Amino acid sequence: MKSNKYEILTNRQIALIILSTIVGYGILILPKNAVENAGTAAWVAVALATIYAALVTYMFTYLGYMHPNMTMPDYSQKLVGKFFTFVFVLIYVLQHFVLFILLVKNTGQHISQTVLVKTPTPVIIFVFILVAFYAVSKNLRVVALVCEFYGVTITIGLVIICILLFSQGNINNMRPFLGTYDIKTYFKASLTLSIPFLGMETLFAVPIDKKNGKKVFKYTTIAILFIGFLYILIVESCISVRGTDMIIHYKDALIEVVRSVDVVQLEFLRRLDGLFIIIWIMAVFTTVIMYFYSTVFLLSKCFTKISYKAIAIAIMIIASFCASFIPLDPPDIEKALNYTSYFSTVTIVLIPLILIIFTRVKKHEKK
Amino acid sequence: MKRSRNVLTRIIKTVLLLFALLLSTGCWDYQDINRRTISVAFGVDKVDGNYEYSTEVAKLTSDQGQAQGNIQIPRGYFILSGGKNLEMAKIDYSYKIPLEDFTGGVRIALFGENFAREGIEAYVNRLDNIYGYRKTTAMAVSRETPRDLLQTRVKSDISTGFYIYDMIISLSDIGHTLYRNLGDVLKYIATKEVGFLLPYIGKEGDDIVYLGLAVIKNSKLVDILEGDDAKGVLYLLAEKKPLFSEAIPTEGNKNLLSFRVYARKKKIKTEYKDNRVIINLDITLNADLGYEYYFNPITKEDVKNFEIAISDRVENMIKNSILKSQKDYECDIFQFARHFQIQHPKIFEKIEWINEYPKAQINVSVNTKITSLGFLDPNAKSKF
Repeated sequence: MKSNKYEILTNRQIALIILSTIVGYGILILPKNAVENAGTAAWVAVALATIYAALVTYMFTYLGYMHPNMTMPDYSQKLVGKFFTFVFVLIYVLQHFVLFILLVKNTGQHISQTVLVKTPTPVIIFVFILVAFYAVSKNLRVVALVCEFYGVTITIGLVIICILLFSQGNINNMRPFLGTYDIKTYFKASLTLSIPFLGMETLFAVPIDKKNGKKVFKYTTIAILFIGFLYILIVESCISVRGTDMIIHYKDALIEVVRSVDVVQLEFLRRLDGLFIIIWIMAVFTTVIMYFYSTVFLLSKCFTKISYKAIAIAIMIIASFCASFIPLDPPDIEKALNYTSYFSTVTIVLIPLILIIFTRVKKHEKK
Repeated sequence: MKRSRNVLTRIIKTVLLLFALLLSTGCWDYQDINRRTISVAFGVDKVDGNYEYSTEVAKLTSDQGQAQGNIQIPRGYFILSGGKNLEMAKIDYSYKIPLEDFTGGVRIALFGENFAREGIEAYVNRLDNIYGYRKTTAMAVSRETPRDLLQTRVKSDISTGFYIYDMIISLSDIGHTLYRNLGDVLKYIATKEVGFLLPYIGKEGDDIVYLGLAVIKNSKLVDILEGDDAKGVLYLLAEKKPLFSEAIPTEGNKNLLSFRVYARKKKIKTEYKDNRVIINLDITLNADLGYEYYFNPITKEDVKNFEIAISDRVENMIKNSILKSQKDYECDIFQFARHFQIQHPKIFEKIEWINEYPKAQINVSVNTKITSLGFLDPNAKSKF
């Protein structure tokens, strides 16, 4: 495998990569999933899910921190040998590639159903992938810069939209804050929120340097907690505007809620959907480029003889064809996303745990 | 040499980028506003067993002689279509318009009385699933068929749909009606336990007028609330502070005093005792003296009497409208269910609200405070 000379990112960039990768497609389905399973106490379920996500992210950061200036394929080879590393990397490549295609396809369908009704979906998908390819072809630092810039824009935009939604909402819709179910239900509900919290596994393609120091833990944890806060804002603002009875009927509850308010005081910006769709596409775009980058990077680690750019071009072409011409309807994509999220127990819990155990054992041996 | 080539590639790139930006606006979806049929209001009714759509379409090219720089939407033109069911009526509509339909501009949806009595749920669900319709589309019930109403020529010569919409918005701003949009109606229908109210409008002479509130139970029109009954409801429900003028007589009916009354606080507390729902409504009113019919001194005692008189009057209005909802409609049009659900979520799951509400004990207590007697001093001593 290639020697490891990586571009080093700052802590802030790593935190914003996590934030912008996780926040994406999931915010559309989040309110429905949370409310359907936990009623008005949806925020409890989101908070619990945030805690799981923070723990998982801690594991990824720990692995990066313990093996400075290395990515997963590098240290995994040291820990578990070439064969298992190859298997692990292939699993991640497969998952990231599938997620990448599903997200692009889904976003394309959404855009063509809502904004660009007559534009053929393959065209939207191709343009999307082409732009993502341009960012990915410039390697990690550019991807990180895009995430940095977009991450901040997405956060500010979403917070503003949520505040505007709250201004049109009614606090009675949000009560009773603690719901009517017992704590078991909330734990169960929090497990159904895995899709909106997927994305930290792309950290395996991001090296952490010694320079980052211990502070990197603080940054990544804060990033996840902030995502949790943002998600709670989104869920609660949706509930405050439309109430739980209505939200459970909409698969894309957030868009429906944004379209159902009219902030008269904003004059020409009174309809928020234009603003929201821009921010949402930006959010999905950062998720997509991170999965794209991760797929290409991990593959380039497996096939050292082929250049990074060549792999990027190949993936772009394959992805464009797959996303455009595999006949997947929205329900199929939903199913596929659910299966991928079940599968992600392997990629975000099992494999990192194995690697951590091996790291601890090796460390112990050295002593 | 190399440098000049670099400059050249840069120029080519810039030009290509500019062209790409200019030519790809809206991709396949670019369509000029003149090439669309923009509907601003529509109504649906059932006439002789057929569904009837009446649509007002915005006219973008103004008539000759119309004042330039007119900021309000000019009168549109009217299209009538119909069919045995909603789908056929819609197809008939699309056969009658010259350009592609654009529904994002619809301000108000009217339901004819016949149609509303049959039930609006199916139609509301239909609107919910048509992407173009905004959830903020206002909804109202009309006494005359929408065909008559939308063809009424408004005196100020603006679009009839806009006129009705503006009327509802401005009246709801001062608490005289309730503005309910598609999103609200969907929410009420999703909460199966409650009924709701829509503005009720009609035509008197050549004018379009607001008449009262239409009571909708199980998404069917059951009655119209007018006058004091509607007032009682509005004191309870209007989100903006409802403001009414109440003329209160003095002792012996010698004088009348007009007060502006508005609800400052509404407290709703619920209980469940002996298998019965108890709802306690605590309403605090503020009243300002508008004017006296005849200028007379007002003592402190008078003020207290007026406070009691106003409280009694409003209390009666509210009690009557609640009684009507319990006995006549057997339907919770005030959405008390939500308050009960918040305060006693576990009991709410066990009981059938639809059966409990008509039997519920609802206590109303209204307290009034006269905050101002205005700037005129009725107690001035006129010695000279």
